[in-house]
Amino acid sequence: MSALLEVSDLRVEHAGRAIVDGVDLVLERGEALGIAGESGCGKTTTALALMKLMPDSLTQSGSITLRPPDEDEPINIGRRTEAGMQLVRWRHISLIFQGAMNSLDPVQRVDDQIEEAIRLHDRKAGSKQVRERIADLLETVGLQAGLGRRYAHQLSGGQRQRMMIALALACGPSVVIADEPTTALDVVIQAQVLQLLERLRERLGLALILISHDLGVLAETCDRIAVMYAGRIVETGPVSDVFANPQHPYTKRLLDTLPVIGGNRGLAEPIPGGPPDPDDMPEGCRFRPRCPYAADKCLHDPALREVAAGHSAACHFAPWKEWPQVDVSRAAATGASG
Amino acid sequence: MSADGALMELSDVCVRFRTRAGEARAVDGVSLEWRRGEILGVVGESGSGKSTLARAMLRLVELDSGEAALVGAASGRKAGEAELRRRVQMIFQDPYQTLNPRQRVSAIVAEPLKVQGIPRDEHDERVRRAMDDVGLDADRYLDRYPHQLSGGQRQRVAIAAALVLEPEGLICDEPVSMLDASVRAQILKVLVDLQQRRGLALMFITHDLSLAWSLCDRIAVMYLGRIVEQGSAVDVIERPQHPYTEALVTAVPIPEPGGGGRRELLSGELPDATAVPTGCRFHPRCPKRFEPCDRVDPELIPAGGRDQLAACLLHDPTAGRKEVEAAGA
Repeated sequence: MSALLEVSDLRVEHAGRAIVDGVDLVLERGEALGIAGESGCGKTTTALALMKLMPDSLTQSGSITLRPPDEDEPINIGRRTEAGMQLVRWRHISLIFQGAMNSLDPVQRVDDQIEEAIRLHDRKAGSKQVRERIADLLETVGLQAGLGRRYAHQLSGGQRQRMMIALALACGPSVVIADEPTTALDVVIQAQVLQLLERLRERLGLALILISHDLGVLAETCDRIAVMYAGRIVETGPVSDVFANPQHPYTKRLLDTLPVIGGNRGLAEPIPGGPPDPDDMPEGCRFRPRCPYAADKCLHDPALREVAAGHSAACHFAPWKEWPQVDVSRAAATGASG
Repeated sequence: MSADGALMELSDVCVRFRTRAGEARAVDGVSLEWRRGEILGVVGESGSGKSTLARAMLRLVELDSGEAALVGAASGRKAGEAELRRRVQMIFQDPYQTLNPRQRVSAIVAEPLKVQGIPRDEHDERVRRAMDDVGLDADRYLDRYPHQLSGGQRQRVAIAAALVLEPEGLICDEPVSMLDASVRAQILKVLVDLQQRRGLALMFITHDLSLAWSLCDRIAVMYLGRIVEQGSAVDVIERPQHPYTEALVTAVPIPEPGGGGRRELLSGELPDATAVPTGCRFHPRCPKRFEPCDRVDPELIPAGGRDQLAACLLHDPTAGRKEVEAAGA
């Protein structure tokens, strides 16, 4: 019954403004959870909060509990101090940062960086043991052993991303969070990296939290998906259900406007306006100003609730059996172009 | 979609850069027709040469050989730069870098008019018309600075500045890849509406095949400086005639349950433009390569649908390119 990772009422605030405004997440062993959303929705902040990597100017609250299979006691991340977190990060939960392939240390050979990561959690490891582990990691991520001796700038984008994955795996965590892992990569390399993550899940039983604005990437890799908007989760459920039968107007409109190869050609009517300014949050439902289905009821903030098996949405009118024909270019509040 | 003929004709365009690693053949013999009233997609990964091609068309980089001709040039056979840039404009990928941060929107949009010597008393009207065309309220936005605008708004300003000279063609180099999904659709709508209303020729440079599928009339696929396939968007994507196109199409993740399923992925990465493989430049990664592929450089020949061309020996093992210069130059 106990999940690998349980997050309850996660909040991150900056100067009184909520960037992450009450997020609940559950991740089972070996599961891949996708977090979708556009800039400013709070998905990256959520990832950083799970690792307790918030800068001091941000306050974090809420409970985060990790139950790694190789630990007797659950780890209460929410309550850990920085010193306590040093024992948890990379060893039980890793994060591949956005644009990580540009964050490799430029003046260290790559295998030395992996060694450093390994020694963080295993100071006594013998050098032969470490070398073998590095070779194993490189093989696991599909890189030739010799590439370890290179510097970051001597690797291609795809190779650097694989290095970042190797680093994230170095200490054997049970959860890896990947924030936009394929965004700067070409489509073929992207597909290779996604295939790698899939193989790692199968081979190592890894649980994955994949953050991406690219719904195609999430559909491909994830079991479940959570859609974020303005700091909150507005819809969550199994990938197949959410894509086949979205229950929140934001998800629905996003899917409408996504170009899909082999699907309809031509442009669908875009969602008007842009995401809300945290200083100027709309009253009630945060999506209301851009929602073509909004009504008076929407001035009251809808709660995230289950509308079908394992499928939740934060919309007063869910479950939606079908979507009414409306003029989707007219939002509840006409206004700024995005 | 009008059959009004070509706006620009590219014949065997070559752009080379000297680098420490040797000569980079960024664009290595590209011939292409950009037709009026159509949306042409130039698709490829980074290193394919597509952005360099676009810049060469506007003479932002020099051609080493070949020609990029504006059809119907006023000044004799070859259009001068001023005429070229009046008739063909370009918008770029990064809306955060394109706009001068020290200029108000009004100055940014009016600048091309100044450069081309359009009389000052015409500026206000033309600027307002351009702002209207991109869906920005002139009274609200003309006095703003770029930092006061969102990414989507900045891109609209960039488009307005490109439109103010009333060009006949607009080259868009990844115009939406840095924008959020919901904003992308808005900007694409602006561009497509403009194309329809003004009869603009649009060229979309993109790595995003889904975008090319949904928007473009014709697509040219580039690999390492060459066009390897071209044709109608539907033909090229649904019935690719080149193994590279096929690989690109199957690599695209689909936002549908199941995501498109397992498939054969291309291995390796794009070689460097300084080390173009012999024969067919795709052969080292090609799952369908056979005997002649490392010796014969394939010509673009008809294959598949009407007006569809592919440079692949599978269609005709003897269709080698006529080499214009000695090998190893």
